[in-house]
Amino acid sequence: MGSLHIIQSVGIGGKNDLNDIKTVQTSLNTLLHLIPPTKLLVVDGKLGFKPENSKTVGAITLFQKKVVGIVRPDGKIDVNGKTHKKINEKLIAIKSKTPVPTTEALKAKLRSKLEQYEGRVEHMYLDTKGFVTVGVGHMMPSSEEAKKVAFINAVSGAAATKKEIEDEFALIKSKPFGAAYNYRRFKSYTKLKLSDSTINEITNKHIVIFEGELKRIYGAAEFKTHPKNVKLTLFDMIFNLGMRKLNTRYPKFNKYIKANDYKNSALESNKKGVAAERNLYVKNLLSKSNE
Amino acid sequence: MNKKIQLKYLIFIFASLINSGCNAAKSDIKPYFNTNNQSAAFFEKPVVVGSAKDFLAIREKAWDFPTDLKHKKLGQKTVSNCLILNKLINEGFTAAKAYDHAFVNAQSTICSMWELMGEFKSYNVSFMDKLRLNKDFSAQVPAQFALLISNDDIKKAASAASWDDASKIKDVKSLNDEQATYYDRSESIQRLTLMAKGDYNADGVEDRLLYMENSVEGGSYSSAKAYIITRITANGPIVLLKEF
Repeated sequence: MGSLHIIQSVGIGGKNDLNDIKTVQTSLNTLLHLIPPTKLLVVDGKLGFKPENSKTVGAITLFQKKVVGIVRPDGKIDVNGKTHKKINEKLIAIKSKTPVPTTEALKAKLRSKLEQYEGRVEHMYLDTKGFVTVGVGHMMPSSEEAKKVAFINAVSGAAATKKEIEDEFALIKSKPFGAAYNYRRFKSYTKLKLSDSTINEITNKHIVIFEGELKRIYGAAEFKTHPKNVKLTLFDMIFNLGMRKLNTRYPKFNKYIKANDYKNSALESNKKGVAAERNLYVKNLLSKSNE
Repeated sequence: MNKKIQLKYLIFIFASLINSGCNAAKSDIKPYFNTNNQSAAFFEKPVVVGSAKDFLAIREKAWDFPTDLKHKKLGQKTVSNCLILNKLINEGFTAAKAYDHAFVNAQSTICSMWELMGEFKSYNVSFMDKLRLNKDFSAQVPAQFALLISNDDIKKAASAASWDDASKIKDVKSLNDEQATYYDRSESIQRLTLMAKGDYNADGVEDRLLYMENSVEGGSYSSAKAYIITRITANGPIVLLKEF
């Protein structure tokens, strides 16, 4: 959303052209964080039989009161009027937000949080689905994939041979697995491990892949402008849920993120079955991101 | 139970047996326990269980792989049997490391299952003898079987008629007669295992205990749940007696 272009007035006593109303609804959805507790407006170009009772006019009125500072709001946006100009001012401010790059410092913080909630394992183990895994959730679907990873001998530190990797992969793969089988259970079967730098390198590659997926969900340009803390939460969500789950099973959360309404997205960020501490971490980061 | 209710209950059971037709298996049927009783997760050598009572005993058996728990006020404790694990969890202990949350939750679920399996008794009649872990099963059991993670999911499932209705199962892979993996359209992966058959609620009718491990495609999410189901007439609905 660049800026608000309307041909005629919208709101109580306005001309209320369908396309103008749609544009206003879309603009206000982008500015929801400024007018809590307004919920996401349906973009249908309608104000109903009694515009004064519509949610869109309610949002206009609240914007006039809270953001423009009008004591007696009239619930109408006149072309180039005070309210129109203020909406554009706020939209431009969002658009011109400096992109927040996924810097090395951000990656380091992200790695540390992922390790806290996902674990960091230097040897091969079976994840709950029975896949051979290593590092911070690096799943290796076949021994061919495992051979691409720089394993070393846990005692001597010498680079592992392809045969050693293949053998250890086969041994781990043959073990029972399930949600009640901790990664520590597999350590006694292993002779190989990864160095700290290799684990970091692999995790960084995952971060790049997840960043690509998050850009597909939320838009490349839009993702860049989210504050650092919001990015941290989105990485946490996608690492835990996978792209499809996050994209399809969190419609309200995603709508609020796209509208930069982080406070409301915090309320929809809960993951049932996940540690309370982890849910709270995500919720707190989002709650504070509109301040 | 007062006499009136007792009488009604007996009439109901009697009528159920009469109406059940030939689909019901009738005799004194001993409880059945899956040989894959999940004990391999706790012990180097899986425990072979002969009777229901054995499950009560293994709850006290020391694990080969202890687990660390923590409490905000009471500090950290190392746990090495089921009885203590569930006692401490009830007191507010959680996994010592956040990344072990799902693991400890699964351990606790299995320990609770063993407690209930220890109480499974012989039954007289079964209305689930033809029930298999297939696609049809997901259309017959309640929505609580679905993997519901988001607030949106939970709200939607409240009005869903079945597991399949709540999560739209797209594929089922049968691993054996007692285990199948269910895949839904939003990439949930749910591994369901039949753990026991027997009489849980002392009505003489077969009940079943099922263990579910949940995960997602492309994500690290993991959780575990258990369900006890029953069916009290041949064509009646499958009813959820307990979930945990």
